[in-house]
Amino acid sequence: MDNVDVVRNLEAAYNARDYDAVRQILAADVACHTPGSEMLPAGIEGCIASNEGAFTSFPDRRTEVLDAFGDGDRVVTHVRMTGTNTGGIEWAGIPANDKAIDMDWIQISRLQDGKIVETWAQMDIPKMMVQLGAMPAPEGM
Amino acid sequence: MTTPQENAATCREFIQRVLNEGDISYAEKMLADDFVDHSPMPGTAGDKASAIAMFTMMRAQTPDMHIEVEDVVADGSKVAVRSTMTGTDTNGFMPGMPPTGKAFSMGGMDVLTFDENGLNTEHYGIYDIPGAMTQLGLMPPPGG
Repeated sequence: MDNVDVVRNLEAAYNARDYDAVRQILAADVACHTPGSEMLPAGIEGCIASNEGAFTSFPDRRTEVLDAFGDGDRVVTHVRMTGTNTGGIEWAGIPANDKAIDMDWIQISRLQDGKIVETWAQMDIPKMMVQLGAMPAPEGM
Repeated sequence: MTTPQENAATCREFIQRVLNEGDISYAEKMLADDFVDHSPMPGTAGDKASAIAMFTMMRAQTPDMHIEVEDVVADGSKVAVRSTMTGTDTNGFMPGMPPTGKAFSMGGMDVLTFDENGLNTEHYGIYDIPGAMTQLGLMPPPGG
């Protein structure tokens, strides 16, 4: 299996909340550099907590890999996430409000021996905050 | 047909010359005429002309801006760039915002697509704008 397939399988495992599969794909001490990940436990437990947090906020959460490519030990993915805020977003202080989100992120994953050992991502948080009614739309939108 | 490595080198040169040095002529040369930005500034067309206007605007708002390329991943016609922009908020983080005079650091991810002549045809980028605005005191931290 090539590295791109490994990263695609991780997204599928997150969607299925299949944490046995997640533990096969992520190194236990995976280092995540997404803004906000400092609020989570280190390593794989933080990744699982983040996914569970997303399901708490958006129980119908689904992701779709829009683009994926790799070079050597690194894989790039552009991922879209949709869902409905029926659970509230605790870290942002936003209560449940039944608003739909459609947001995305770009991630670079570094693999070693077929496992993901490090990730860097940027998520389009402003887009999500506007959709949730927590932030005004920028001028011109 | 340009190689992924050549396209990656173009990305590095583009950031250095256009964003860090203000050499707009390199953007005129390397953006395809039918260039499409899939993440344009709100209220802009996302075409070649509006992208070039945005580069000029960024340098006007933050004259000491510097983008450090942290990583480049290239395959086929695609290149991803992970970067950090630093600068001093001298003329407003965005046009119309009051300048704070404070320094900021903003992570970014870009994905670019190149045509067979090595010209940049498409762009998609996501930047840690909330992080930078929090550093400048323009936004409360998450949840606060």
